[in-house]
Amino acid sequence: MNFKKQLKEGVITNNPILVQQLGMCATMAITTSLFNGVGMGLSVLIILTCCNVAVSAIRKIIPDEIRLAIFVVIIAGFVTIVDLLLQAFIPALSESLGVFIPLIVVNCIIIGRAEAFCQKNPIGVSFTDGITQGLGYTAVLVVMCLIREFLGSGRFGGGLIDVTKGITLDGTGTGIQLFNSDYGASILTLPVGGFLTLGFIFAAMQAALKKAAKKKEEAAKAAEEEDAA
Amino acid sequence: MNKILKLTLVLFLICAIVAGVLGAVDMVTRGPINAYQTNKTNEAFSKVMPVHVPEGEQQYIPVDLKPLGLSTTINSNGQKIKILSVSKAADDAGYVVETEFSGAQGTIVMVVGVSNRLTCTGVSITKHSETAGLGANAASAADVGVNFRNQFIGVSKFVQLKKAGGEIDALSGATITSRSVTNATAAAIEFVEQMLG
Repeated sequence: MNFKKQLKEGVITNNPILVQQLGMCATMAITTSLFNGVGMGLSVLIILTCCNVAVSAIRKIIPDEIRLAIFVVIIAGFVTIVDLLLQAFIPALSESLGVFIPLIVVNCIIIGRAEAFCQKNPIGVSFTDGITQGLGYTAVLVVMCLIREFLGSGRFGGGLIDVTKGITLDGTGTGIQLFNSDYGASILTLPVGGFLTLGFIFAAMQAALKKAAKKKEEAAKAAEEEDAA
Repeated sequence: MNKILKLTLVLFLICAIVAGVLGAVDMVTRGPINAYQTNKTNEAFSKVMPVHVPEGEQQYIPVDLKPLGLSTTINSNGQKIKILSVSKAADDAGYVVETEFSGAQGTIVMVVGVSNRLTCTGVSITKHSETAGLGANAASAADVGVNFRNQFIGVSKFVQLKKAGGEIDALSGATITSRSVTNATAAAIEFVEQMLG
């Protein structure tokens, strides 16, 4: 398994949200500004990578009967570490993500990867798996944030970008106002907008995957016919 | 039996390692987190009730509540609001009340400024775990949060949500948070009233 293939899997063909349909609760709740999306995505990426490596490293000494308990302890440990570090060094992000950082403990992406992947694979691939799956998660969050922010309040990059200050890592940026927020469909900034946006992205993704599969099938068929001829 | 012992031992070891690592991280992060909290509380104090005294002098004088014999739990519209502390502004402009109450998700700590005429001079949330994008807006520095909090400036202890016939517009999708913030504001004013007799 090489990095490129894993990256394609993590971001597209086996995307944690769009294909495995895991961890959608936080996805819908926090994607209201780019700052939250990038922050949450990177937090999950870091925790996922750490947990993957840890689980993979001790996979041979974990007794099968209590593996879930051990996974949860490891995940809870890393989540608490990230939570404390955020509180101490990026308090703005910690505040705006609120309860969703501690909730990563029960985010099924992480326990799902531990159970389905890291338990059976060596440290190296597990590490890249954490990065690629994390990137896939972050990518979906960012896309959702962009759509919801733009259509909902006419903004781009809320919290992360400021017209006068450039990139703001403390979440104070006001974003770039592309049109008056009064004309935005504010329903998209509410949780129901999260459901709608995610639904449309799901549909687009499924259509794209199906199209790709069909193309592959047709190519295979053509090759077969050629062989027969 | 041996098997159970082995399982217990493995789980125990892993828990012990994780606990050790967490302890180490806590040692590093405790300082900055506490400093941030203190800083935030101070900021909240000066936001809800700016005090004009010469630099270097104490701005807020804590009031000792014990000798007053008042109950520090106020029942406000059926919700229990705990009064954590009361400080008097050094220039006699009024009082700053620190309240603690349940929001929609967890405990909210909020600072309320109360003038001598028993009106609210502002509210500021210092600690909460409300839902991001909904209740959390009550504490947000963005327009939505500022507009929500500014509604409380000048209100009396009879403050209510619009839904209940009052003057406060609730945050969309966060009625419980909005109601509890309103109740806490009323409770803070009520407490200062009781205190002043």
